[in-house]
Amino acid sequence: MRIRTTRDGKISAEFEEVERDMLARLTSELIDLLTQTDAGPEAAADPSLPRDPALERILPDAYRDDEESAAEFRRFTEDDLLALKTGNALTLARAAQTSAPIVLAEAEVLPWLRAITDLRLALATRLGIEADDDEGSDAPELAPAKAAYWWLGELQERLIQAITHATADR
Amino acid sequence: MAQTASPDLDQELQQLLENQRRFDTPWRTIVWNDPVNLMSYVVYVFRSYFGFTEAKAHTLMLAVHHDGKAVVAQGSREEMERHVQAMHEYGLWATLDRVEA
Repeated sequence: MRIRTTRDGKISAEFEEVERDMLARLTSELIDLLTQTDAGPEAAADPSLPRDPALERILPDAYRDDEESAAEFRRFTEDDLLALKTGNALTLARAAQTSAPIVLAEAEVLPWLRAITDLRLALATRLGIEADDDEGSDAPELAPAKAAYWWLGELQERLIQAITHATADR
Repeated sequence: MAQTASPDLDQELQQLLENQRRFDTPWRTIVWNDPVNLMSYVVYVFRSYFGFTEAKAHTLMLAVHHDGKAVVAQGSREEMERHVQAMHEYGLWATLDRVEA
């Protein structure tokens, strides 16, 4: 990956082919997770239907000790949240199809940062990352997920640095 | 230039307004520690969404990291629900509850 601040205060992002393939695969999985039929608020309100734990982490309860209020909150917000998050993932998926450097205004980085966060939350669930010192499962079949998790963290860190530079130079 | 009120009265008024505000604002937004979110991202969210200064955003981020949680806002229930929804948009783990008496 190559992330830098352009002379006119924008952020330029460029990825290797292997990175773009990884981003395409991960975003496609995230979109599947966000758009699965049992993901909606109706399903959330029905405790007999199990939800994907990754989805629980992306859309946590708004109330900790009040199930009724938490369910009510989901009914009012979850469709919008799922739509927004799906849109963010699609933005990143489109970026994964571009081999040329992608130039983003500061505001255009936001959906990226959010989609990267959702991707990392989903991966962390699969990797069993629950506490601050957890580095994730060492199971061989999860090695690609683990590599992706840390790579996405690096990407997010660099994008935030680039935004901070772009804003400070103004 | 005319003076609007003596410093004492001003202070009393501020106190009254503060009491009123507390009475009106029994809810708070809490952000919880999550091993996934980068410290820099949490600071970025606090700065860009709440408009906090770098210093305040950093202090709150450290509170989340070390204490496991931090109260980032207080106000009406509706307002706190909007904040929690916004935090979930960013992928931060946030909840709201009533401020303990």
